[in-house]
Amino acid sequence: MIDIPNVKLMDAFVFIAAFLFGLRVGLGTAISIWAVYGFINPYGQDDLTLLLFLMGGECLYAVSGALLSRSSVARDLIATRKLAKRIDKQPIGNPAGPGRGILLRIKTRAGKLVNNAGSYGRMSLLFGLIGFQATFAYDVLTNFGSWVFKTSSLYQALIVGVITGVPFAILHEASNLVFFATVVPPAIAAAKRVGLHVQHRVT
Amino acid sequence: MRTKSQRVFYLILGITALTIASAQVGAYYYLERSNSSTIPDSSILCNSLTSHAPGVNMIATNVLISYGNGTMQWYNETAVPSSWNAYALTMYLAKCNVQAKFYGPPLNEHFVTAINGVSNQGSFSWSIWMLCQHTNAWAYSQVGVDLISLASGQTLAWVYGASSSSNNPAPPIPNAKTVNSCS
Repeated sequence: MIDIPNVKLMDAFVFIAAFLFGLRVGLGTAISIWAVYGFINPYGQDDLTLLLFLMGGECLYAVSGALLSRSSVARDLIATRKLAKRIDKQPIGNPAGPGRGILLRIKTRAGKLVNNAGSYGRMSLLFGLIGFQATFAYDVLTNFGSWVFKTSSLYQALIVGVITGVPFAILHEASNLVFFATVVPPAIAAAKRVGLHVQHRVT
Repeated sequence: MRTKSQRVFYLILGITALTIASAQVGAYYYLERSNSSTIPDSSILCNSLTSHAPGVNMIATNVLISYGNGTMQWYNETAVPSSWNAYALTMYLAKCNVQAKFYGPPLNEHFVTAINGVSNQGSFSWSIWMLCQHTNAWAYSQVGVDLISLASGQTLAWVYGASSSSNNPAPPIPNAKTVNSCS
């Protein structure tokens, strides 16, 4: 993905780490990722000022992941997923007799699929929107950081940074909207299924 | 009750995302429009450079253009309006034979790519230097050509030579004294 500037999965990974394991792990992941990527990067090494802003920006994903894991919206969604999974595992009975059994099974399976799709859809919407907004905050902060010592005022740095960096910001925000909506929900659901720490907070 | 508050939460999230998306699209449109803008058209500037309004305060400047092949051209004691910047002065001296890419708002800057038919090529490009009057040393300009205001007796130099992002280009006169800035 290095060929496409600003399109990267690591923001989603930081978010997932903070969502599953808490703020401390998320912040540690964010900072250590940039401690490596800031120096070993095919586009070149970052200067110290920009690196600090990049680390700070990456921490926003950790903060948003940790905050969201504590919110009732995320807890309810994950609890719904758990319940749906439990119902999925239950055998379907055949109370109406053998003739209507196949029809009933199809109907029940279809109902479960719709319910599953609904809860995944809500998770995708929630994580996608949160990821999009966290990415916007990251872009504003890092674009500001790349101009802060090249302009005569902080306001100028903000405006120049936001406007000149907007093509990259749009690419970053659009890709993260997709990644957060598609990669994060199944990753969290899978982690929950194998019994990671999130279950203690959700139930 | 919880469902209602969650709906409000989703609504706020959605509205915020839409606001951000609109702002970003607006900023992109603004950037594209200003990059393709022809407002500071060279021909308009050229026409204005050939006629000075009466009563304008004039100052004398010195400019060196070094073409990188040993050819150096001095323009001494050139009288120009004090309101001009280094870009207008360059256009005037080169009789508008200057090519530049204009970056519109918020930068409002010209990036000079050719002077008198000598164009940037590969690592060779034009750079502008200022002679510091106190130290009599050359300083590589840390600001764009449009931000260099002219002062009486000021000496500037355009130099065509190799440069990289890590090293400043060579000074206008070989082995001349250089400083980081004039202040």
